[in-house]
Amino acid sequence: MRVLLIDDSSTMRKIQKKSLIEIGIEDITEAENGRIGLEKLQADGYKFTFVMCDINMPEMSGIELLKAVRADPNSNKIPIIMCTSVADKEVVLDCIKSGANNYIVKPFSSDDLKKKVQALGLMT
Amino acid sequence: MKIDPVQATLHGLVQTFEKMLQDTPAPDGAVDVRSGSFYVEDTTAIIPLVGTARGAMLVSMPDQVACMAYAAFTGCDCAHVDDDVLDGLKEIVNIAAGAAAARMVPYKVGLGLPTVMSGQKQRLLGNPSAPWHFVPMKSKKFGNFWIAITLEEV
Repeated sequence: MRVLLIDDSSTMRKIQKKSLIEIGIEDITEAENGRIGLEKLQADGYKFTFVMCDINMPEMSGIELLKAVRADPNSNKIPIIMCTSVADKEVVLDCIKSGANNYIVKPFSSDDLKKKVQALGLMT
Repeated sequence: MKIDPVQATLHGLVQTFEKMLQDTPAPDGAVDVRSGSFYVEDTTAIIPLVGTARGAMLVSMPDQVACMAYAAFTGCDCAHVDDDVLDGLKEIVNIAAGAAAARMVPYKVGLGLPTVMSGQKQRLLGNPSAPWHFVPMKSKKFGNFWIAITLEEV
């Protein structure tokens, strides 16, 4: 399983990477904003199993990335889990409307993350 | 106020530690109400709270506690407090404040950008009309530290 992890905070990437490794996912590519994430997605030939993406980022936000990925026929089927630190209904609705498959609210444990990946049908 | 900001803060902090640092810290004494000038611990992360109630929340730790908390949070080694540890403490206060803000309904509270201060015997200057409520916390894994909140209706 290959995951593209997008977050502008290097600390948050470390933490999310730790959680992904704990649930058995070790093939992880990191990107520090939506624009770089999109470039890595294209450069990789859209072969990531899923994308895990922060919402508030400079240059290209998570919502902008979502819209770009869903607008491209090469990538519109890639599952995307959005991460948010505020359980704001409007933010979550915006993610779902923009094409997110699921979302996870910080703080989350490795078990919480595993359930979200399982809900995508990618893990038993 | 229509809510107890200290309970909301405690909830956010404990939930963050349980889920992301695999630890359950607990209050270790009475709430200390502070205004005017007061000392904080070596490493202190502060985040503004904005909205229909406003103020700030902080987590304040001795360096050794901050180092151990960072190591548990990220899975990285920590020999001393450096910029990575300071950034880690900012993320801890950011996540804890997000979870606390969710418990502040009917107020609609958002988060500003967190900042961090480092060094011995640093002091904050509190507003007497919106004093800080400091809660001493005890963690079996990391040691003792403080959480605090100041909040007022707009």
